[in-house]
Amino acid sequence: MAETKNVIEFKNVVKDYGDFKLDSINFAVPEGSVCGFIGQNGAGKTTAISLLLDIIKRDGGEVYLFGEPVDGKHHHLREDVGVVFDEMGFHEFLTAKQINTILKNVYKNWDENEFFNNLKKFSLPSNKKCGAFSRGMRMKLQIAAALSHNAKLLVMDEPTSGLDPIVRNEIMQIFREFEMQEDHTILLSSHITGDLEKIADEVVFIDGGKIVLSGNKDEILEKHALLKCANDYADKVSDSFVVYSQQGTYGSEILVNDADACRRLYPETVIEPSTLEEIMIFYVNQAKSPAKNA
Amino acid sequence: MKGLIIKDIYCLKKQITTYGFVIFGVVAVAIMFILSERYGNLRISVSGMEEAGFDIAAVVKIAVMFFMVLPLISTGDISNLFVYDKTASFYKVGASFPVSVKKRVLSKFLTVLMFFAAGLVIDILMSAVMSVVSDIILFSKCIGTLASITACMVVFTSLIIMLNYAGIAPAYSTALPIVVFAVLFLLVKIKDIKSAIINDDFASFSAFFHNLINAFENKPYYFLIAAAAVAAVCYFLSVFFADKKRGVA
Repeated sequence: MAETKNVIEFKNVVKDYGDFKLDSINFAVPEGSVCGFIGQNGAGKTTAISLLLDIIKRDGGEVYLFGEPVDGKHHHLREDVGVVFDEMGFHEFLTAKQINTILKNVYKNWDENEFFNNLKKFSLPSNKKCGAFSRGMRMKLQIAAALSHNAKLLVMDEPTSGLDPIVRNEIMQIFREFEMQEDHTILLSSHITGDLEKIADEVVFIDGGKIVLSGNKDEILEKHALLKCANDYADKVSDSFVVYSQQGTYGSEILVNDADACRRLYPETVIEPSTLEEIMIFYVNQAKSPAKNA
Repeated sequence: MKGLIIKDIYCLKKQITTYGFVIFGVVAVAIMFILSERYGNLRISVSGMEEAGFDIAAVVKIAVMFFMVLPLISTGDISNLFVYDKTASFYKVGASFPVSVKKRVLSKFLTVLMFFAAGLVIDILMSAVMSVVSDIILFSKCIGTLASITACMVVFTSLIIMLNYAGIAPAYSTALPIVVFAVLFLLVKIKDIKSAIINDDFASFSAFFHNLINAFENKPYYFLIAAAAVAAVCYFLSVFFADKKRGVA
């Protein structure tokens, strides 16, 4: 069996801002996968992406892109990376046509026809100043640019936040089409887990600068479940299964990390599949109250 | 790198209307100055000062030169590039380009030099015209002066670029070199300033202006060598600061 090649690798990466620390994080994104990078706002997603793109310097550890170290000397690696940020980043007085002129002189593999085709596909005017674009149009413009230089990896930082569901769906469709092509990889950071649930193969969950969970999305969803029971029954559930438990008036909801075992051991309870959002919320709550749920 | 220079040119193109007004205004004011010095109120009002040793012809010459180099100076508003980049959060996009930090910094210096070259061409044309209508301005002397002033502008803007990369806010990075130069001038010329204010003695000031004009007109190579040295030092320091921060466009 051929060994899986990692497009992105973080090994014990540290970035310390004083009031926030990315604390020795480790994760890898295999080639050809869509990796959902989830976590609440301020969890460290943007910092990790900035480290990957060499926008900021790390304080420790190693970051690898396409197997080569990200160390300020391998800027050529970014030829193969399409980037979409949460803000447009292009000057508001520029038109898409002018952006094309800029980018064709930046990327060796810039495909002008592809860019204008993408603009057409996304219904974006080429002669209008992009400052007049809506948020959805601005994101699409970034995506059009990211898809126009034959990138093998798309790195996106909250591309769908603040967008209405229709535009979000359109954008997710674009990502699906990109991913269907061989060897194309996506790292998609978002706190909108519903989007990721539809598209991601892998999930990396970061909270408070630490990786809480990472791995295959389906496996994570299969392993975790919401166990519902009466409040007085909650104590019977072994602590080793409990991620976090929350009590309500009518009973307790417990996120468990071994759904199959719990189904066997606690047949009298209701065990429902959990969503990525629920997993994220329960893990964040666990981190907030470690004494109670450790 | 070419793409970043094009981006900067698009940014500075925004100022093209202002630039047009500057050139138009400069030509008008320079002509008015020359005429006034020769026939008008300027000559009458400063005649008393001439008796006190103040060389009005030299002052007018400096004033006219100052107006003439305004087009060149106005091309040097490099801080705007940093303001535009910051406003658009372009630093993140720029930093994600497959362009090294050195080339990103170099692109800023090259953009400035290109704009200076454009300003210089306009100034040379203006000098040619002014030398025809005035006997104060000699075209051959103008070339030297313009080269010297271009060199000074290169020093000034190199410092601005470096200060911006060092993390100083654009407004302060523009003001800081001016303040430093002004303070240095005051410190060096404090005696002459005192004597001009207290004793109405403008002789040493006049000599200073003569020497300055003479150096500008006849020894531009001193300024050009100094500019090249300062620009080189500023470039390396800018790369150092940019590499420390990485996220620069």
